[in-house]
Amino acid sequence: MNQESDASDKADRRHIEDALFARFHDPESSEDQRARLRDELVEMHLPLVRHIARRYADRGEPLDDVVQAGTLGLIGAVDRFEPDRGVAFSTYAVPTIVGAIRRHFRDATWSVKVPRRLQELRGRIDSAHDQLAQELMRSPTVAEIAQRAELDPQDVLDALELGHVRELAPLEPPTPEGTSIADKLGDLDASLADVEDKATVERLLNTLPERERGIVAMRFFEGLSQSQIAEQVGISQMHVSRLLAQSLTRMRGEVLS
Amino acid sequence: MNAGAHGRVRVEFPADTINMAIARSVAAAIAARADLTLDQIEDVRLAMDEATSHLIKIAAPGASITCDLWIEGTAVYASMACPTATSPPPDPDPFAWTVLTALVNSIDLTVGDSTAQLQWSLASDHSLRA
Repeated sequence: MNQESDASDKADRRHIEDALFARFHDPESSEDQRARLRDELVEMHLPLVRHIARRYADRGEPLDDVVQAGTLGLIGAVDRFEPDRGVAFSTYAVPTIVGAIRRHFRDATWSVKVPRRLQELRGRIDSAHDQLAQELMRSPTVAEIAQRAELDPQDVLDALELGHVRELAPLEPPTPEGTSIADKLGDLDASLADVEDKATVERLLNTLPERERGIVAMRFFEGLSQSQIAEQVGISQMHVSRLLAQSLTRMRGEVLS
Repeated sequence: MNAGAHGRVRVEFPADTINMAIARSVAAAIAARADLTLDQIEDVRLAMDEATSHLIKIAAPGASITCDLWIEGTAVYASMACPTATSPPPDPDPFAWTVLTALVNSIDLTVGDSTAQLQWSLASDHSLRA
């Protein structure tokens, strides 16, 4: 940060931020004012949320959903921040935003189907993780998880690493306790069904490449399973799953834009 | 775990975003040895992401980034360097810098004559998250 204008911009920003927080915590401020100040503080830091969300962009969740999860974290941070403690708000907010985004991924994609051996491994690690987190009141270490799950630490590390490799992700059958990618497609389908205007759906379908359009139609209008589509189109079922997810995300993006 | 026995690990990779995943994974593996918690290991990954992405942005065309990682006490340390395209290189993106400084215990960015060095550390007793 060697430019003076940068430094003074930053100082200005910090000054505005401090003033907003001071009014937010001022007992004289009305509920209405406080709500508006809260909005303003949240909006001010949305670019930070978007920046962090983009770091998780290659993990297969729609960016909007990640931003939304991060924004919830940001709102929590604004509500809980105590300006008197002498820490900059952003320093306080980053771990909260990051934590919210990670929870989103844990909830949304933790149970994604991977090869059976790894899935079993993952199951043991998950339950060891959850037990330990509850007992220790903090996130456990790899060594602690390995000991509890009676696994080699390297196996634990390998399995965790997989959580970051998206290519191995979705196959069809859902795990008994969790949601599969198919469930999520169901959700998207439901929200599409809410779009009453058929013309809109048609327009959305037309934004897709021809092959994807065909696959979406087979899945949702003809009710074929992903495996049946895979057979018809002559690609793998995993590929069908991926194309469907991409297409729906894209169409949903069009609806929202 | 006996951290000293592991010594320093050095990775060197072309300054291209395609290699960010490699840097992340190596850093996460080292962090696990330092007995960091899963959340802290995730912090290390994210810090590595921000650090690497900044160096990639300012690196000279075709240059490589070297990254030394080691454990000292309860902390994992990273020392990263690359030749830069301009001297001095542009400042880090303010958001990247905010995230990076919020995640780590210590950070130091030094720019020299057409080089940049970024050092940071994250300790297992580091807890912003109460």
